[in-house]
Amino acid sequence: MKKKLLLIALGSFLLLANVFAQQKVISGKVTSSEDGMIIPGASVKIKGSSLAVQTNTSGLYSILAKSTDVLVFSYIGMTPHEQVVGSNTSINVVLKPNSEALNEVVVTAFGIPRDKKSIGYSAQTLKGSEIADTQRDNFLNALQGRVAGATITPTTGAPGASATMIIRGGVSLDGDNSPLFVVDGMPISNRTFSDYNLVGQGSFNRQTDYGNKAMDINPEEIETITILKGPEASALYGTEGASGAVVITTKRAKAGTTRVSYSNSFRVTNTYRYPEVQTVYAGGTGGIFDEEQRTRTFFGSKYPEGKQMYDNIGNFYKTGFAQKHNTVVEGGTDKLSMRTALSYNNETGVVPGTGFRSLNGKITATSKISEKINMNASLNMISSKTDKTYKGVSSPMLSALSWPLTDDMRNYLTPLGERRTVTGSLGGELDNPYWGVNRNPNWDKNNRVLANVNVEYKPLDWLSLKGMAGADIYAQSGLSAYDVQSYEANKANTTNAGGSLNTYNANERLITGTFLATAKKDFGKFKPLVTLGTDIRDDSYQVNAQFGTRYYQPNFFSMNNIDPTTQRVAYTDELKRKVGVFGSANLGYDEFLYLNMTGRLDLTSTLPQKNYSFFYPSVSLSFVFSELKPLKELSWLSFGKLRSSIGLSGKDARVAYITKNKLIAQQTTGGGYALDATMGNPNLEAEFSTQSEVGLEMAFFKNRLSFDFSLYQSLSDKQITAPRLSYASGSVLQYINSGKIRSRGFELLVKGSPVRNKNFSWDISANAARNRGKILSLPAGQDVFYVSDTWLFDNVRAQYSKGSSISAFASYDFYRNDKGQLLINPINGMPIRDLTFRQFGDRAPDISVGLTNSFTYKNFNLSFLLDMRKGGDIYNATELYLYTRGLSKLSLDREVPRIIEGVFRDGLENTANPTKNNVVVIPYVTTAYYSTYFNSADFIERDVNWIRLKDITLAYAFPNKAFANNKTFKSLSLFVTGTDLLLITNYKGVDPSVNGLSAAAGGLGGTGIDFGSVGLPRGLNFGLKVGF
Amino acid sequence: MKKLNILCAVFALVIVSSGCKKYLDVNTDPATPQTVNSKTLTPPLFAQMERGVQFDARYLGGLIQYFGGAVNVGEQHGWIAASDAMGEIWRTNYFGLGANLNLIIEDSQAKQEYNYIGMAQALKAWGWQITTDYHGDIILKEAYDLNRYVYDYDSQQDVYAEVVRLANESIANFTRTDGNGTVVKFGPADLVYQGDNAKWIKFNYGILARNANNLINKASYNPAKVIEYVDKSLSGNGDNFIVPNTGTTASNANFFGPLRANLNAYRQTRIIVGLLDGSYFTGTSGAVIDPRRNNMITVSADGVFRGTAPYSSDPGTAVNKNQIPNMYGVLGGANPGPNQGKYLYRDNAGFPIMTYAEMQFIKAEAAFRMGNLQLAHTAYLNGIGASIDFVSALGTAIPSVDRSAYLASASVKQTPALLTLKDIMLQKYLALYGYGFVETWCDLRKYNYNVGDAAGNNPYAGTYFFPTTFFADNGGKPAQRYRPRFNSEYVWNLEALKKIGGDKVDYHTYKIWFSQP
Repeated sequence: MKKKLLLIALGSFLLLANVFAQQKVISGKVTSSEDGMIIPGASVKIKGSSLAVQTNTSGLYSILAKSTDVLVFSYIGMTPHEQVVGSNTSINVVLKPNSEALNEVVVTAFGIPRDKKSIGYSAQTLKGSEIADTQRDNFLNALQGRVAGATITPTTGAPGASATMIIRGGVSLDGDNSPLFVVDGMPISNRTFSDYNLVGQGSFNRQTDYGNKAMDINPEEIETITILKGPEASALYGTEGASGAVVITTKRAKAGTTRVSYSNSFRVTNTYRYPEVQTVYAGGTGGIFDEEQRTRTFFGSKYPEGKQMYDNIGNFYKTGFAQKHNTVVEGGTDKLSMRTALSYNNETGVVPGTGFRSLNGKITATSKISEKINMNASLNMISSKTDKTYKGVSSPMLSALSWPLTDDMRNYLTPLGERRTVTGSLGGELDNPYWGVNRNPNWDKNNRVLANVNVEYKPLDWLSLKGMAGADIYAQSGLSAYDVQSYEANKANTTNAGGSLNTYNANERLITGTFLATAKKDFGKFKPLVTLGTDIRDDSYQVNAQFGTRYYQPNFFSMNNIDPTTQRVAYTDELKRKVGVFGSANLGYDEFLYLNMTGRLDLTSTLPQKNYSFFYPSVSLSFVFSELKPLKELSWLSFGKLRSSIGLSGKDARVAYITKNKLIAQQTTGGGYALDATMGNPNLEAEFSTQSEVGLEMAFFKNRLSFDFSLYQSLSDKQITAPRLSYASGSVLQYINSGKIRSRGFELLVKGSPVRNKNFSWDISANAARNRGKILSLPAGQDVFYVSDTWLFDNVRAQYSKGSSISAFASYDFYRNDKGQLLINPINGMPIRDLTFRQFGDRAPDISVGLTNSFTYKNFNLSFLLDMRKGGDIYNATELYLYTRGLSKLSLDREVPRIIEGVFRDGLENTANPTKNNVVVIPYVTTAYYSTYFNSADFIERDVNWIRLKDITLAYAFPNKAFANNKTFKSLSLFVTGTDLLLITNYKGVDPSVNGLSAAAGGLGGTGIDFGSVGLPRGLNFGLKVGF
Repeated sequence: MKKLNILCAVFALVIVSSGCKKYLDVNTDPATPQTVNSKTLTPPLFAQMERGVQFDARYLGGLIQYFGGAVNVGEQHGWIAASDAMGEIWRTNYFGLGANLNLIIEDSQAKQEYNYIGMAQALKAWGWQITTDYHGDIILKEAYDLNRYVYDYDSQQDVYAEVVRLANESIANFTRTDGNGTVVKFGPADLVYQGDNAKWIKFNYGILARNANNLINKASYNPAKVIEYVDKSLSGNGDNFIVPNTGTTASNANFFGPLRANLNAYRQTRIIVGLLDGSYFTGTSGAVIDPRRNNMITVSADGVFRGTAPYSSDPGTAVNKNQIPNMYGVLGGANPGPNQGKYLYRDNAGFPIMTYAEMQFIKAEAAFRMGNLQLAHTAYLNGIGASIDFVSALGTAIPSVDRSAYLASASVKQTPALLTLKDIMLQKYLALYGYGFVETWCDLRKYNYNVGDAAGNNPYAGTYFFPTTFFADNGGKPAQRYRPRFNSEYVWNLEALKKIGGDKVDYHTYKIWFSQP
């Protein structure tokens, strides 16, 4: 094969040399007729040959051609222009906008490109460069604010952190709401390793994050991203696409002479927002200052005047640094072209010891084997390592916050080199963060291959047969450990006594295959497009996890260094297979009416065989009214389309092996097996959701202004969830078909170009979305349903009840009387906690808005994205943690005597004359006011709004003149990009875009739960792009 | 290429049509078995039995005053809202045992392994008995019905009848000589009786004895039947039902041992100290020192044995050397470390589910009520002797002279004529120290604690005292039952629970069926 490639390359080179003689250099400029502006990136091609060049950033090109050649000038949205070379050496061309400018091509399911106007559902496409220019490692984070109706929540701001993406608010109560990720037509895995695969379930995804797998995709290699949200699109991808699909097309080799480009980016990051702590009252209890600072609760007297204070948290977080290098080599002929891309990324985080390194290599070949056969193949190899730290309950963040300000936290070792504590007790306080990041290692390694090949055969000009196969294979391994002297190894009731080690090796192999037959033939005004296909998916996943305690030799973290009698293993082996048969018929009439129907039959291995196949259809209509006679004449109306769609989509069980009872090996005396807490359900069937959508797209003034509005509803029924049951069933949980959830919302996308002239242009793109979910009935007719993993600090958790949404919170509250007055305990004058969970708040925002502005002045470009959100509640568990320790600024008035407004619970509370509270409390003395009698519900911050400058980029491209006589360099541009530079919010904590769990959690996960996690750091990137 | 595509199409067609079903038939976990036989399911059952009792004993132990130190609301007869605490016996009965026992019966029914079926029925009988004695009304008839999500509660009377039925069925199965249930098959899995059918039959009779003996307040009470059951039950300490604990890891160690460190905060109680130094038997403190004392409890640093009063913490200080030891025998609530501790509070100590001593006291009580004082006295002496032997094996061996001396002492009634119900019940209370939590509670409740039953019997008067105040929700009443498990019933089966008043704050003070006349 290698030899063949070489021969082909050599052959084409000789061919080129042969024609050199008769050629001359043609150069010129390509501009737009609309505003006279230059068009960079326009293609100039010699008709009938593979020779092509692109105009540079100044709209200039130069090409070798014979006088008999015909040059074809083309650009997206413009009508191509042809011109014979003749005797000219300079040809300037003015391209006219295509009247059907919105006639963009959208890559739909299985990579089928279709005219946008024929699509009856919403599909938003983003350019890869827009994503790559944000310089984010995890491209998902660049989508926040750019995609209407999608919410991306990073787990933490640490390097290599996972991000959760949920389209249209999600519908699954406790299952997977993640969209399907498809790269070049083949689905890839976006799994986030789950703690549940560790021995003893780890920390239930609360303390460790593992990165979501889609982040392995190199943003620089993305050509376009299309987000499919509507029913038809997901119906074609089958059950995996029921939560939407993110369809990524990567860059393919472009024919032409060899091009080499290199770009780099250097980034500094820092954390600038911390939770605020009070600096008035010192450590101690009941107003007595513990001079020696032997406590980490702060109910002492005021700090003495002139006491030395340390900025412990400020000292701890450092400046992160990242460097990224990308090299691309591409070229070839029409028959065979290749592209290789290599990217290296090395990053250190703001928390010492954290970092992310990756090496990403990709090779893509595009070949035209014959006139009728095209073939594409790509191979992408990724190797990465993440060094991380714990988050949540015993994280460095919480420890740094509760470290006494009068003590220098940098002092983390005793003179003997042991862990230095404040209280003198290893198990009584959190690890010093410096010590913790050093001595509690936590990392993951990942090696992955993504391979993809597709062959298209066109036996007839109206028929195309396409076969695609993809493989996504990776091995991930990781280790998380606690040192023998750590808090976790010494706290009460610990399972980590003597130090502990959790390791795992995970292997996933996802193989997919698709066969498609597409027929497209026009019969006069009828333009049908029919696709029939079948696909197959085989997903195999194994995890070997090991756990042990008691190190022989301290500070050496290997399973070989663990007391063998404590070693335990957990083995997971999951195989899921799916086969689908589908068809779609798109019937177009006269360029203005399109009817599209799809149907899909899925067969799955995760349902009992009696229920294993299910069928679901969809239908959509696209009506391009601007094509109608009278409207077509209107000069101000460029485009108008009305669309609607309705579809059913089926979902199988996302988890394998839940139809039969499972037995779990027991560690108790005598060993043996006992039934798992989750009972099998042999009657499980597919769940269905009905999704309907209407939309209106319009463009005005030669496409200078356009909008796209969608209104949708989805109704999910017989959802497969695992509610808890009465133990009288013989079990604790069971996957059952139940519950009915409705979600409604709208999305609006507006684009405009207020200014467009020769030197200056201004483009705006804005999107707004709102989603409201409502639970119509809960599993098993129960009153409430909660996601237990979210119950991670105190008594607030994600809990839903009939009528609430699936993003609702529940919390403990104080007791109140009929009039809503607080009930007070007459003995101590304190409010009384009602120890039952009540619905309290909702994490879903009222509306979220993304606003992108792009300004171009000559060779300068400035663009920025504002991400805005109104409403939605956040549980500020970090603040509650600080509050109960006397660290919250809310406790500064502790010396003020007060009578808590309320009435005694003395039997008269609901009468006409309740007894008013008259007990005076001075929290300074009665510190239980903070530590015991707090109200959990008070820490759910209501209606949190934010405006965040997600990213801003200033780029400068050197004018082409600069390289006119340069043989080496062809282009050069410089850029500066800032990420998360500014956040304006009414939220009292660090960052309201938080996740208390990792992306592995089910339902809506831990979004909206802020507990001891590092917010997104501010980043400043600068770099250059060079073309050779 | 055309061929390739045709091949693809053919391949796809083949998969979709014929091979599909087989190709997709992979929904069986290769990492974990989804069916196992009875032998593999049996060993964990025993751990579940002790788990239920021991977890809940953290609260019940305080209520009946085996454990002191005001560690939790147990000593106040209270409850904790929205918590699974005190709901472990519930879990054991329905989840730890229940569903697994159903699998065993299913598996062994097909294989005609009648000893396994007998064992499953015996454990079911035990489970229902202890669960109803602990909770009162429970879900019986609708349990394990997979076609419902609301499970109604049944009366304790129904549960008592079911226990009798199951124990008799179990006895019948263990009596069978046909089928394929061999000792070789059953022995290795049976961590308690090593496949000895005779002992399992005795265990069943022991359950029947408990069942019948709790009914003293009922017209149907039949002491002769109780005696008959006892006589067919455990006949010596060798028949004791003891759940073994290996004690090397946190998973296989005794929940009451230092490795699990659950009892650090608990203190020995005044009532136990008073029983072991003769105070409550003779009226004089220190009159008769029980030979079991050093094995069961621990002396303070100053050489005096002390225990906490109901719902009081340890008033002692290190300086005054009057700190009260915890269950492991150490001061200041410390944990002595793995492999330390004493009595039943050691990592590898087995946990008794039923002992010969208990049976003899049941017999003594029944015989006493029947008026057969001679029979009662013999059983009473047997019970004390068996308890001394049992305790002797759990620490420093008690010399036989000390045993005889105690049996001849003023703490022990020497003639049938002198024997009182109080002697029997207090010796039983002492003998069941540290394990017979639910059984002792049944005794306390059937005699209305220190109030006495309808007939005027009041064996615990002057010995068992209530805490100065009960838990706030109690309305001044002692606890009579525990609530069903929160995360099973209060969250997911509240409708059914409301019908029996389970949503009321003082539900736990409602008298259960057997203690009502």
